[in-house]
Amino acid sequence: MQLTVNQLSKTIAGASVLRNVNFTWQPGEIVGLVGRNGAGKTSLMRTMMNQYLPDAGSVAIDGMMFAEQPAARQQLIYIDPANLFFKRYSLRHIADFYAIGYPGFDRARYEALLVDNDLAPTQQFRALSKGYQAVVVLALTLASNAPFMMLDEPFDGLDLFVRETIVKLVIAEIAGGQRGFLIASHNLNELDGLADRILFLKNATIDQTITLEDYREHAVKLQLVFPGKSLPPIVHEAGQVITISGRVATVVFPDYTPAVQGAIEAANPVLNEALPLTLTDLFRHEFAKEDGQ
Amino acid sequence: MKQASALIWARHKPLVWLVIGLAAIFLIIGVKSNYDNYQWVESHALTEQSFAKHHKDWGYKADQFAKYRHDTYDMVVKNDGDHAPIVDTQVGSKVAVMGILVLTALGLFVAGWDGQSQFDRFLAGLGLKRQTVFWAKLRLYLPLVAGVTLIEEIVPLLAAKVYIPGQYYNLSLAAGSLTVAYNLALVLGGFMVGFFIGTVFTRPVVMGLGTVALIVLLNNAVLNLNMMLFPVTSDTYYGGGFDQPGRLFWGILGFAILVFLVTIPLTRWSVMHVSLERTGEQLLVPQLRWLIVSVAAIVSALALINQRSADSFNFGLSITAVVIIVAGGLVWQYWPQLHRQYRRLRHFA
Repeated sequence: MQLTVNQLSKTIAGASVLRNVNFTWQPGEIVGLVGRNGAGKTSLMRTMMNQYLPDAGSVAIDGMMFAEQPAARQQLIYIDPANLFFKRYSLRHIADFYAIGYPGFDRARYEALLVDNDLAPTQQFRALSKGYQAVVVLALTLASNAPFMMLDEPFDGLDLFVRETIVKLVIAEIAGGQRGFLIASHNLNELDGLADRILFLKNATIDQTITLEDYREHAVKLQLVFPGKSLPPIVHEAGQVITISGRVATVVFPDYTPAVQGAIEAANPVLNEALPLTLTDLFRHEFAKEDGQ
Repeated sequence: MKQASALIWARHKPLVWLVIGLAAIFLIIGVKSNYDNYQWVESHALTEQSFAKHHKDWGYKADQFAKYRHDTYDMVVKNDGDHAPIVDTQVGSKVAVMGILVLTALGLFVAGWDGQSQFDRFLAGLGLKRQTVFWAKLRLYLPLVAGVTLIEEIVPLLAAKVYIPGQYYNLSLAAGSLTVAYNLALVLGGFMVGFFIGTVFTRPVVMGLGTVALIVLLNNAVLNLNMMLFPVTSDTYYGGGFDQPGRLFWGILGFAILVFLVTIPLTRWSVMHVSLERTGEQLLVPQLRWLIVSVAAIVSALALINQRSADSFNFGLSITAVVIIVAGGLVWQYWPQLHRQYRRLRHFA
């Protein structure tokens, strides 16, 4: 089974928010969707869900295009946290709608997930804290049993324990290989440990798809101290300086070739220590290019 | 369709029961009120002795007491000089303008509620065709609206037949049927107009004000058309707005049916073209902008005709209204560019 987004384009208020977006996604995968504020992450999800009508392009599952066979959309779920119709409903009543809307909806599992997280089905959604509301949204998503699940900023504003709960649930769900997640998030630390690959949404399109493993194969993050007051030219030419504290510079080298390594060693660094490379570094690298840094 | 109907029912069940409950209450109040009115009229009826004293003043012969009572206490007065089958009377059935307004508001609410509450977003994301959801809503509400209207119309007429003596019950089957048909057509047309407005507009204030303005202007337009027709007919009866259609009875009936039949495919088309990123704008389907401007211009033009004398009319206000509305439409169309230009000028000022 494969979901294919093909040449998807969308203009809102005269501005192109999605331009020829292409990617594929399969169950068993956790795909991170990252981009700066206003990059179009949420617009992409809403367009995939037919809330926004695309100007061009298509979304299909195994060749069944949503525009022609809307029933295929039952394989995809996205609960837009900013636009919930069920705020005034009890948690049990909310399930009534999802049970009708998603034929595979597992009510017993939904209620079990609620109970596991100290939630009673009789509670009203709007009376819950932000963290619990996020858990309910995730419980609905998981109980839908849709093979493709989209989460929009699932960690936003949540405390450590709720974030861990969400991560655990997602990891448990993916284990069977029957479900896939597309997670849009600014919380790069959480995404770092979760996502198999990252889609960078930049300039209204998927700029590139990167797996962290591939990135880590070619890139390094070094903490460097050089004898002189200024950094040697190779640092600026091949790397991206993240921080400078006194004479200690933290630099990411996206393409750490033997030539770069040789040039750095030739500058006789006093300190040359590799640091763990994170998704945050990758994000900074990608979007620094956009800013012309 | 089954899935869509189940979803719509799950969501709208409380509203449907509320409508049925309110309709039942209004029905009971209406029948009771009609009954009380008749009792009052009956108890205040002139005695035969009083009639004998005044019959000449009222244009009756001394032996016409029964006719006088019949004429004055009729459940429905048939006004022979005009083409309306019914007019308002103290006791009896009339054209239910309030019912039309209420059910137009219901249509507006049914469509606007799902849009404002984001239920439409949920529906859009499911594996359902938009048109299937649209038909599911109509399959629930059109029978409800028609059923409530028929019951609210027919039950009081049948109830009156029980408590009003036969000689005073002057409503023929034809007149009664036409009253019911007229109200039903206006109510269904009104419901669909409300449903259309609730579907394509985004702001509740605009929806509410727009609907009220439309109904008021349409009513005034009917009144004006009746007045314009009066000098060219030999009628003794002017006619009025929707509640007293006069010579326009058949025209309004046909117009209401036409509106009903046109708004169904128009709303369906709109539902197919709604893109929810426009929820911050006035109109969800900008392709309809000039249709809406045109309707507003036509209705306003007709509503603002000014009568100078029995057969002389002034169209100055109508022309002004059309000019203003068309200009407003142009501003609406080009507002983003105008706003951008304004901000640029302010920036460099």
